[in-house]
Amino acid sequence: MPDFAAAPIEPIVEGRVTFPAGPGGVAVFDGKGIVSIFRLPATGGQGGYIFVFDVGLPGNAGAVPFGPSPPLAPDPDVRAMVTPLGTGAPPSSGITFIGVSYPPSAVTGVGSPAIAIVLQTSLGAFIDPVAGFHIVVWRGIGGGVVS
Amino acid sequence: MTDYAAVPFQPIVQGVISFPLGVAPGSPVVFDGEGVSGIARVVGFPTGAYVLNLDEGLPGNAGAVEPGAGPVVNPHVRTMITARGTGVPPVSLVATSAVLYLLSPVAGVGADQIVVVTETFPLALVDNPAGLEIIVWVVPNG
Repeated sequence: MPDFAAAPIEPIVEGRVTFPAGPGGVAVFDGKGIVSIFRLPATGGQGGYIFVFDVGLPGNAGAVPFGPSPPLAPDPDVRAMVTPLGTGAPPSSGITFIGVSYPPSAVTGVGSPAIAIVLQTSLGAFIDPVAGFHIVVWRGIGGGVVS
Repeated sequence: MTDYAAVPFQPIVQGVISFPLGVAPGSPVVFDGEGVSGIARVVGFPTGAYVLNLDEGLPGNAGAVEPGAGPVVNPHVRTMITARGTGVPPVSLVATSAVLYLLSPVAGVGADQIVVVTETFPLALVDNPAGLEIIVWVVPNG
């Protein structure tokens, strides 16, 4: 196999999110690349989170830049993986829908200093998975639009 | 940290699949990133199914990823699909996604296309309004 990455990506966040006091309790991130977690008020106390990127990450003051746009505005050059952990036998997470987004900084041109993650059941309820979830975020490098 | 990858794999595709004119059935779909030279909806499916042509500069033969050995068609590829959310809070419409690697009609070439399918719940094909993030890795033989 050729020894190169045809589509280079850089991991900037890796870790696990848990709820030591149970769902609805304080969310804890154990890993690298995140300096703090807030819950999204709109999800009613579970299933919605804002993860603030470490200021040591690539970009301006810990933010990830947006890609060239339009027509894809806003399109931050970031790719994220979110995987709930399961509990029970078989280990089930209860999560059906996973959404991610990158809220832009209030400072023009900075990009996004955080990632928002929303987790829902099949009925649309916002929940914290009992066993937590894994998260990895990569910066995408370069590229362009094809159709 | 030890400076090695115990399970090496190489990213060959990274990007975002999106719908610049919205998600009406049959609306245009675009890919913004690296490793894909073309994208289109799967013929006969106006929502939720896309075929991505691997860039011919990728590892393998003529842009294809080599198939695995054995009775199961198992291209040495791993793919991640993540839906971006819209609104407040940012929710996605995708409950499940699937990928399939289409073999080239030329014997021995391997797969030169990836099909991505996204469905909501209850199960129905769906375009996710905010798009999909995708990464594809090639892995050595296991």
